[in-house]
Amino acid sequence: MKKNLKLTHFSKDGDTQLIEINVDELIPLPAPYDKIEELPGFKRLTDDQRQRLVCNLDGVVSYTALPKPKNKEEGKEYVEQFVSGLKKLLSKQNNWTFLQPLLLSIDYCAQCQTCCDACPIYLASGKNDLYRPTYRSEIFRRLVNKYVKPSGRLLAELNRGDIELNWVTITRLYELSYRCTLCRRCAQSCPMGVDNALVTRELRKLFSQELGWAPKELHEKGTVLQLEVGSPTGLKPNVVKDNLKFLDEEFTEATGVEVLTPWDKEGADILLIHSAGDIISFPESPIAVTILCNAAGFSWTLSSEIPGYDGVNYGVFYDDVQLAKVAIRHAQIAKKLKVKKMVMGECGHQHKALMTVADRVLAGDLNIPRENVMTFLENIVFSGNIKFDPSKNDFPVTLHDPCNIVRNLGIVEPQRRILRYLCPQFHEMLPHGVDNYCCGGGGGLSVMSDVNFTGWKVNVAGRMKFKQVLGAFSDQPGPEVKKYVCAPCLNCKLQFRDILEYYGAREKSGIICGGLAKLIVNAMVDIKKPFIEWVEG
Amino acid sequence: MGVWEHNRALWPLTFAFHMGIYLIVGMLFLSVLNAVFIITEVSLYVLNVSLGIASVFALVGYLLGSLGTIGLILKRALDANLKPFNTVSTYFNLLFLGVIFISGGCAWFHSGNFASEISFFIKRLITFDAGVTVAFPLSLHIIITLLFILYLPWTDMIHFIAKYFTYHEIRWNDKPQDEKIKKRLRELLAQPVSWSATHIKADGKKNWMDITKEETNDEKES
Repeated sequence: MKKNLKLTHFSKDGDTQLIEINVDELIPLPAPYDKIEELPGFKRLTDDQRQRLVCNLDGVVSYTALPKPKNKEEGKEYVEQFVSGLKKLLSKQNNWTFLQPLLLSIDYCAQCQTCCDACPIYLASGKNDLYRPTYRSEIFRRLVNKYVKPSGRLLAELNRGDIELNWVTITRLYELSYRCTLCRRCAQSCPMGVDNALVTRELRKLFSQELGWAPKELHEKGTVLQLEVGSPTGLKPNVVKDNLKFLDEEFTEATGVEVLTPWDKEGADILLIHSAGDIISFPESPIAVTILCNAAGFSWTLSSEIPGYDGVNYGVFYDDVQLAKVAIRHAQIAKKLKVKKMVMGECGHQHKALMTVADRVLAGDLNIPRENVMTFLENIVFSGNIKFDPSKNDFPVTLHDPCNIVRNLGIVEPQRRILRYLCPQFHEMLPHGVDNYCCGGGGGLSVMSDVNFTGWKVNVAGRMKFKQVLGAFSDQPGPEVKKYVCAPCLNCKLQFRDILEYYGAREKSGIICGGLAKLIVNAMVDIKKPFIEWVEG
Repeated sequence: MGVWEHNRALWPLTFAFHMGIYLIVGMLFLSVLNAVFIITEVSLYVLNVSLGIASVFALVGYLLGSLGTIGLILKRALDANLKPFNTVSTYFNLLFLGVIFISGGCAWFHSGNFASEISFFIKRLITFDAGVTVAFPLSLHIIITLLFILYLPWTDMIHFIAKYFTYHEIRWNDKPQDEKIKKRLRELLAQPVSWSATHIKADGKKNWMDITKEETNDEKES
């Protein structure tokens, strides 16, 4: 692994890979995960892939369509496009949405490197310089200073440490912008308020909005598919309704209570927007919410209008226009249904998109009240309308805090109040709350799986979280004791699924992962059979 | 807090450096106050107490600032964690500040009564006294400091001031929409968009509202 990587290395050596990831140089995991030879191993690129793909960063490829210029002129065109994007990023017209915090982050970094030790990726990588939150930001900062600010080229020359801008710099920057989960733990630790995650996201935005480069899972198969057919899962309105109808019937039979999901009820109090991925990958989650809403006697509905049945909004990870389009469609659907409020599903970035960012996008009558899932569930649990038996949840439970709900929105206590009440063996992982570590799938990474990207996610991005989970259960490490990681976010659950599967943690440690509503329903007196089946995760 | 929690090795140096700055700024405020006390002839006891505090602020400030600056220059030059991010201006800015602190310290030791000397200097400035004179070490210190103040807005060190206006406003402002925000939003959403990627469908004329509310089935073309 290349230590003491200089910033100026970034634009040098053409197609050569900048660093190599070696698993034995990553932070060690506790037993039985300390034996690297017993793990599936890090998938290396084949010679053919190295020939065909742009793989000049760290031996990981997240985007196969990254172009290789056929000649010098084409390479120059990409550079010109990038500079044009930089200028737009720094203009009020094209980037009024995030210009102010971006300028703050560019101008006021004191280069103290305090944020580095807050970054789970940098720490997990064994402190690889390439993964410092400041490395990518400083390159970006120097390029902005040189190409956008007056007298920038002269000052860059005087200051030394000038970054050459060429096709290599651009493609490496693109890939490096997807080696960050946008968890903003770095921003929280910064004494100046510099937000390196925002810089990363702005870089992604530049690539998407100016050059048209974005991971296919986030763009073509993400926001584009969502706006076109309704969901990145590909679920169309009639299919999603059929799926849930089937699930309603299946769970009615399994639980002994009538499960009936309402659709398109105009005038309902609440429009609930799940992540459609939950319906496919974790169907107990939406069903659990249905059971709870019905038991609480709410007037509520789902929408079958495109894209009202899928609350995900991958635009939040890479593209303002796509973000705004999806958020506005969600609000338009709520307005059409004449609901009093929209309630988010168990999905972290949905909260950031619709509650935080959209609050400065949804104007006029589209600014419909929006409630987070945590207080919504808290109100159900403590309403007194449902009887619970906490002894049904008498197994070790720990809570993973989705960054976008906890660090971004500051919603920390409601979910803990529920778990302390319903789970006798609940204990926190350390650190937690606003200091939590990201699952490693944030920033859209959890749905990205091109080439060998999953290997990087489970080995590097998710390593601190996995270590943390093992630490939380260290008093009962064996598989004989079943343990539950409560992750109230679809993307986090997808990342956990990949991590637990890669390390074989269900077999070796008895760990599964699921949502919060599922735990709540498992403790309901009226649900006779266990709702948690201990097979998934 | 961030440095204390996440970068403990840097903390003593950055604490000394910043505390030095705060104390010098505090000393300057007190010196202006003392000048006013001299002009208005307040009780000698009050003036002496205030001059004493200013003198301590100055001495401790210059010492801490000098130590912090020298320590930070060495740390930045030698620490592999910081070194790759240094530029010429990193060293220049620290050296400039170091010269201020050290020249201030020299002026303090040279002067028999630094706080009194600087307060009388300010008094003469306030009263437009053309016969203002100060000893060479203090005049050198004042000139260097004034040059630095002129240079400051052109550097990222302006974060000192900007932080207090921007930190909470930008990072944590989650104020619900009010009439002022709504009006501002309407203006911003009317800004033309010129991003070039095909899926944006911008032409430099269409505004944010036009672009984000387009029919969803247009997406097939992107």
